[in-house]
Amino acid sequence: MAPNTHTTLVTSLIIMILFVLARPCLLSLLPKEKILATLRFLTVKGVLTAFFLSLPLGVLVLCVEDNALAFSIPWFSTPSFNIFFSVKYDLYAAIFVPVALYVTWSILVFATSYMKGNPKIDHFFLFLLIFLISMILLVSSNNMFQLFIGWEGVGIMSFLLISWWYGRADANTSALQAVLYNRVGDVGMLFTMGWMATNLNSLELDVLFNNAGNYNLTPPLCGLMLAAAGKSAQFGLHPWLPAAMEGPTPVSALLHSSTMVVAGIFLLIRFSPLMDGNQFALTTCLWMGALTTFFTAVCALAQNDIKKIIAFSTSSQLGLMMVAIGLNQPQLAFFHICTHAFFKAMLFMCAGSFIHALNDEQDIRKMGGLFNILPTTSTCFTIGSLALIGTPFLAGFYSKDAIIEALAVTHLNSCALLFVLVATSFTAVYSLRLIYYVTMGQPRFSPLLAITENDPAILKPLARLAWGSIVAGLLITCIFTPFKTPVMTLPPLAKTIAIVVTVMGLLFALELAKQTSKQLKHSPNPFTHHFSNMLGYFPLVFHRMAPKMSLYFGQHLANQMMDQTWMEKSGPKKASNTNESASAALTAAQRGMIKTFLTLFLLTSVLGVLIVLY
Amino acid sequence: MAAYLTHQQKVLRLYKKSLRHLESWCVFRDKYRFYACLLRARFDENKNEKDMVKATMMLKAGEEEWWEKQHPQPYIFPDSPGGTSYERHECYKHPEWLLDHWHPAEKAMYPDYFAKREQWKKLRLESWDKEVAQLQAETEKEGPRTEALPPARKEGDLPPLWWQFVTRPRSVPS
Amino acid sequence: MRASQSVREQQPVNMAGVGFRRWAQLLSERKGSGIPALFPGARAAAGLAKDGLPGSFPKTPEEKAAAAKKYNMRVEDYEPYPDNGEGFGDYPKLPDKSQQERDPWYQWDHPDLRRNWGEPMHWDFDMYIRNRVDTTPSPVQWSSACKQLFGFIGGALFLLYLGELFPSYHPVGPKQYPYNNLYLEKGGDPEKQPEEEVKNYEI
Repeated sequence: MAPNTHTTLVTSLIIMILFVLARPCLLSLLPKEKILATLRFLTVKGVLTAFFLSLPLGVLVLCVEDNALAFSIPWFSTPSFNIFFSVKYDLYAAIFVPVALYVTWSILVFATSYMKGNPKIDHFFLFLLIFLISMILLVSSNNMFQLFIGWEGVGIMSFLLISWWYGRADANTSALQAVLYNRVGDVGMLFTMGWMATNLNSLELDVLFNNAGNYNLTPPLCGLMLAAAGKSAQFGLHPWLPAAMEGPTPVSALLHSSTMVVAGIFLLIRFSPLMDGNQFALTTCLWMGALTTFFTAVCALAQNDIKKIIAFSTSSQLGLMMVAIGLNQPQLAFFHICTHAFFKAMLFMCAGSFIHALNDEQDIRKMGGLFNILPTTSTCFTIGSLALIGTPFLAGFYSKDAIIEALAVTHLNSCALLFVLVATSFTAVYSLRLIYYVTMGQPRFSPLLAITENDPAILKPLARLAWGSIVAGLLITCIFTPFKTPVMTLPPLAKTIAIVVTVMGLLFALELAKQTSKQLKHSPNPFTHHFSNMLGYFPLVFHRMAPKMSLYFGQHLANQMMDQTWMEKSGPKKASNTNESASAALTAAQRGMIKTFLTLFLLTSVLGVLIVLY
Repeated sequence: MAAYLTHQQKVLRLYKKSLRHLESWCVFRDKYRFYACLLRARFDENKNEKDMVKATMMLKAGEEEWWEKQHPQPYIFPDSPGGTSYERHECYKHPEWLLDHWHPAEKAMYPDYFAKREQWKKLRLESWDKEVAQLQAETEKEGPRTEALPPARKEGDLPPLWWQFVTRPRSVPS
Repeated sequence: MRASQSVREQQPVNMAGVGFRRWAQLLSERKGSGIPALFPGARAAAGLAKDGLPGSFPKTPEEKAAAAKKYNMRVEDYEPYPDNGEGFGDYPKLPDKSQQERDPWYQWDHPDLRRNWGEPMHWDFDMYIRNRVDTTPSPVQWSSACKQLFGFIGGALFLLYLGELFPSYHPVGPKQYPYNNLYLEKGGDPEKQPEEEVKNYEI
């Protein structure tokens, strides 16, 4: 096919996808009760149609020469600066969009069952759909301005969905945390946009990549890394992600594990041509990623809330993706994004199924023995956990192993390697702990619950994502050729290190489980346990200190001290005080005493003499 | 509600609190049972202590020990304060006076309910003065000593401020 | 229906509308210059009314008792801010405790704020609402939490710095290819083939 035909086809397909997705949103504007009440089914259908439309689009992209199709329409222009609506549908978008649509479709079907009985369920679906449209806008845009719209779109939908139960104070706090941490990242994003527009006079990505060669790129890259750290919950800006588990479980499955939180990593993947030669940026990414993956893996070890554990493992995997960016291997990070989306969404859906069956119970101490009662969910949960820890030939293995291998053979920071390996073995530890407490052993929940998973809206999406977590790795390896030749000859230790540490972690966890089931003391060593259990004290320290400082000084410095300065020290009070003292002095001088007159006479004559002389 | 707890109540609360935190530490039921028995034995050891000074000191020591050994993430029932679905349905609860603002056309869609509601409101108008009179009569001069509301004293009277209780929203929407 | 009417009457008036109307009236009524006439209208919007502000600092026990009564407090609990000209007046100094710390089981008049009607408000009430600063005592002391957290961060950064000094390295031999290590494919001159064929193997 000629490139022209391609462009036309691609353009029409993209517009069709966007239309199919936007249709329920537009229909919701009609004041018809009937449409509003069936909006969730319209949404599910629309997402499914969009998924099938995105498949030929992916094939088309794979067929063309440089694996990228782009078109742009002038959006608005000033004499010196133009902004285009420009779409770049390259290999990244071509793979990520179908993955996101497939995962979203499964989650939406799951949500029809999970959110059943919720008075505003159709709004919920609308929110998820608007989020999905923003996400697609983000991954397919070829323009920083457009990307920023998608970026903020996913941010605001995250805020709205976390505070879905807005009467709950904790949910509101978490939503505020999410939006504030993301604002910190947005500062970086806006800074980079400003830098690009000032220095390169364009926001088009292609133009930026071509023209940026002569500039010192460290400042804009710092902005981008800050943006990515905020959105992808890297260390320092991470506490919002576990807190975001306050949202309903489908939200955690869609936004806070598989799609929205990888937007930051995706941003760095998009800008990887700029990061290519910048050693400072790469090193920073490596450090940040290693620290994140290690710290959040430590935090996951002693959590008791099933969703929090999975959230911390998400954060840990995001750190691993950041490490891949730091290795200057963005395609590996992207690969991990895609496989991670499948099994992490599935893990959350399984968690949702458990929580639903146990009547909103989220504490793994009160689960146990669920394999006998919820066999399908437990099976999917185990598959997801195995894929997460990188069991050979499941989805996680292909991407995770590749990243660790690349890190092991690169002549780079040995400590980062150590952190990543420890985090990898910790992944095995907390995943096994999760399976052990949730699905194995004796039941520890109330025997009066009417437990069931016999709802096709739960079982079918789980099965779909389970297939995804089994075959996605292989499929994506087949169609996604790495841009850089991976090292083929490597020592056996480097080749097997990922699997070795994982197996070590598993054995370690088994030994630990054996020890804990004996329970020789009633409580463990508080020093290590509390550090992990209380999230490394990070929220404790920072969420009490920072708002207290800012609010206290906001009130007392800005309000009271300024008022005091104006009113008492320089304004009306000052004027009255000055006048009082001045009038007192004058009054003292006018008592008709001969001494005063003589002094004044002397003074004036001296002054007069001085004036005459000089 | 009494303003102060008795020593016995304090000890019982400490015991219950300790058991709950022990349960958070010991996941498995059999192991928990073992340590719970040990805990019970420690409480039982001094249950016949007659010297109140000594007993109070022991209570204080017990509270301190509990603080040392507490679980930072104790198990909380989902709908209890701090639990995962606490206040979850708060956003669907609306005060009943909103119904007064319904349009007559909307009210006409639920004729039975609103007919009954008019009767309730009539009842409230009738009993309000009696409720206030009862509260004024029973309140001491320096102000009320307790926040608990008195029950209805006379046959046929309604308890003071009953309207708040009969019109409270349902806890879970359905 | 009487109750519903009275509720409707109590509805707050749209203040912005009132302000605008007053401006418009002033502009239209005065025949002379409109600007001086605007000042009384503009003044009304600024600052608190006198009875919204705290009273003057209580000095005698009687004044203290009156102030405590004004703020719905017991005299024993009432303690004003020190009178150092910051304008607190007789406002009570309440303990710095967050609303989150209060008893969740008590039946508050405002359950979401954990606050009773007519209860004195903390001067920094906005700081201590349930979404902001939490002062609930934690099982780990603040100082030890800070020490452990910053120790962890510092240690990890120091380790990463050390790792930067001593990178990990697995010796990997150069990649071996057939045909003289792909001499032609790498753009070598076909005229000048190297004499000796490179052998990557031994038999």
